[in-house]
Amino acid sequence: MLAIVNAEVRTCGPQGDLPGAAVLIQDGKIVAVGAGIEIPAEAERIDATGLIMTPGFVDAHTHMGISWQELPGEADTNESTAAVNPHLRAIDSVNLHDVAFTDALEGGVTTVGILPGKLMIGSQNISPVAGQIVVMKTRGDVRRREVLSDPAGMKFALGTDVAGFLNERKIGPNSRMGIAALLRKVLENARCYANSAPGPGSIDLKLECMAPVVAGRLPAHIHAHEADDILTALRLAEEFGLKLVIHHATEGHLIADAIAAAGVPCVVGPITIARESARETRNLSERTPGILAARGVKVALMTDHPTEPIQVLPVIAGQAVREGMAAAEALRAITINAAEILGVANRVGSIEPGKDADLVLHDGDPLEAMTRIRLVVADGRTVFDHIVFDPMPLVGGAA
Amino acid sequence: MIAVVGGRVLTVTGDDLEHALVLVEDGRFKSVGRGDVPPGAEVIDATGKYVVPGMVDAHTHIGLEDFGETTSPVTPHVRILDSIKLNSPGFEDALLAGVTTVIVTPGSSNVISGTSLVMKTAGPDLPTRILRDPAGMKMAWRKGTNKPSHDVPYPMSLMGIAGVLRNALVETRNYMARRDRDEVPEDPVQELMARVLRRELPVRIHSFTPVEIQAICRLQDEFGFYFTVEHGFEAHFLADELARRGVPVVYGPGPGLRRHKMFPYRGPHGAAILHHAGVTVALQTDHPDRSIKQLRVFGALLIRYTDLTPRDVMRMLTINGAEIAGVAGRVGSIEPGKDADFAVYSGHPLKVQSRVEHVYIDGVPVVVNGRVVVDAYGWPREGQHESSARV
Repeated sequence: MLAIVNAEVRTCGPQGDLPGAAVLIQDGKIVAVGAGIEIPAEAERIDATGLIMTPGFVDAHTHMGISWQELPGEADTNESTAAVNPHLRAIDSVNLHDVAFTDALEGGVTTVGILPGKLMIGSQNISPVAGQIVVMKTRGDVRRREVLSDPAGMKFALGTDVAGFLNERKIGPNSRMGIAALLRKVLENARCYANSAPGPGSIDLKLECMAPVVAGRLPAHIHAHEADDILTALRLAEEFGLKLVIHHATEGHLIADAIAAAGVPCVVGPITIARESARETRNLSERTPGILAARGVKVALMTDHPTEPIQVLPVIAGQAVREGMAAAEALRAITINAAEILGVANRVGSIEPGKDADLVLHDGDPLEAMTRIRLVVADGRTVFDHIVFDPMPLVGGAA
Repeated sequence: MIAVVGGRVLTVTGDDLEHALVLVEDGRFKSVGRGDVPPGAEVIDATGKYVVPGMVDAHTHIGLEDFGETTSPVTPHVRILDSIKLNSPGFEDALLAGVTTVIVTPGSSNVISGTSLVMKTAGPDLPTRILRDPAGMKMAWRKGTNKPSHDVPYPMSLMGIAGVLRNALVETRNYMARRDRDEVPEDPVQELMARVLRRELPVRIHSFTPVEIQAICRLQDEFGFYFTVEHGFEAHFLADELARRGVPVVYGPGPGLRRHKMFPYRGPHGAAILHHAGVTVALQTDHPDRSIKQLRVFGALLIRYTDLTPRDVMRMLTINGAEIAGVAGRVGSIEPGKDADFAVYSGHPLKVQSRVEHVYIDGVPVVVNGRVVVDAYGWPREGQHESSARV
């Protein structure tokens, strides 16, 4: 049993912000949170006076483990031989040895969504149906990391980059309307397939994987940067009854009302790249998350690792605050909102009794770059301990 | 005359001053310190805010849509100015981020890629904006294995690249000797390379690993040019050697956080080790590889991960880059006589939540209340007060 006492706790849950509070942990779970809770005498105590506690961060859009390789040609982020790959599972590409998992954990990112798709902003290798999303804990090692949800969603992609990619590879339509038509065909086929009561001898693997998407059970996570592509995604969702999540939403601020009216959550970003990074990002604004959140859209933020290194997730949220997002909302965008969008909020995303004990202690504003992370607890275990602070050891250097 | 009053002034080269008065006249800082506001001066109230020199991004490709001339591995004759588009969004983003001076270099697609320059991110016209041109000869450890285009012979190994460099330098030496004897006519390209050998123009060489840096050190021993290490994510292994040679490192883009298996030995500690060894370190974004808006965020992250102080890092964002660019007499700090390039921040510039409120270049407002007030070509025009800035 572990008790972290005297922390300023930002629960991101129903209990709100709690000054001078304690969190009691047993068997990897949070058992009690509050200022006046009883701490059993046998519990190990960590005094967090002067420190701020947040939930472990959740990044709803990364390519961790599937982007470890140096060159785009070696990466396992997208299967570039076909346009429609609903049967592919990101988990089958994930290299659990990726150092990014360690970096994530030390940066307080304890849960990640891993999506098939484009390796980096600016590269052109993304299929319109890219495959199945997996949600994982970052704690563990090459032998085992816990999978929280698989499949957590189906990854789709729209836009001129997709058209350009299909055109270059000669594996599909080469216009934006052509891609929308292809997706309609796939979705319609899946609907017919599901209605045909497939059984032994008539299983179609790809359509089998698409059936829960058209049934509205498996969320459709659609990559869309430009406003027109976001609107296309909204149309497809309405026509087929999809449970839609928009990823990137680079021009979301231009059509915030339409997104809000549809009640569709957005995983926005990465907001820190240059506008010149790609044709589709020329209207990028760091104000997009704040504008969408102010309209009532559920917003999560992303690093798109390796586009931004995974551990800068809270610093990206800090920049959204600078550009108008409420600080509490920005913290939710990298905790509970991301967990809800990934469908794992029953386990992670807030500091509540019954949830996984994924906790981070910061020596200042959790969304500031100069703030240092002093303690990371994942599944109740201390995985990073700088409670007595030393600057990062100078490993591998000439000194 | 402009009087900036009440702010906390980070002069960078001198002490930080509380409630200071900064006077600007004829586009330059007139005085920094205390005193009364002169009658008739335009007053900028910076009470509770930070007044900071315009930042210097010491390695960018801002304004470029073509990053290199890839028809040959050796193109010393191309000038970066001829590729810069002044209406590129990068310049606007630079102003919004408080970055007022940039080194612009050709991309690293060649072994010898052309000349770089130093310019301001806004100004009434191009000649006024350019602080130094040429400001360096860009070189790179660039193999043909990932050359972008054209079926021309590129070296395929590190020793092959060193061979191309050595060959080019020997040719220039030959040219200089024959030119001294008046045996050959003046050749503008060789004259440019001769300036490198005469130490008038530094080599700015894209290098990451110790093997690349050791090779350029050997070439320096043979040919005697000055050079800077660009990127330098593993330069800290040779920190003492670089300090001994007086070679600066333009570190980045980013604080060195690893994203791929490519640089297993990199980390933010690299910048700290170089700094403690006495190497002049300036930060860079390599814009648009990383956004120029992230320059100060990279600085703040160095503090998160190392024992560097905010004062150390502020130098890496301003005066160190100006020194490396050879323009420290003009920009990089708030000192009387220097160009009045400065920004007013809502809080400490190394806090990412601090906003850049106003930016001045040569004493002229280019960002006001967070809005760019220059046109797409970089200066406030008659009858135009509204910005082209997006939401």
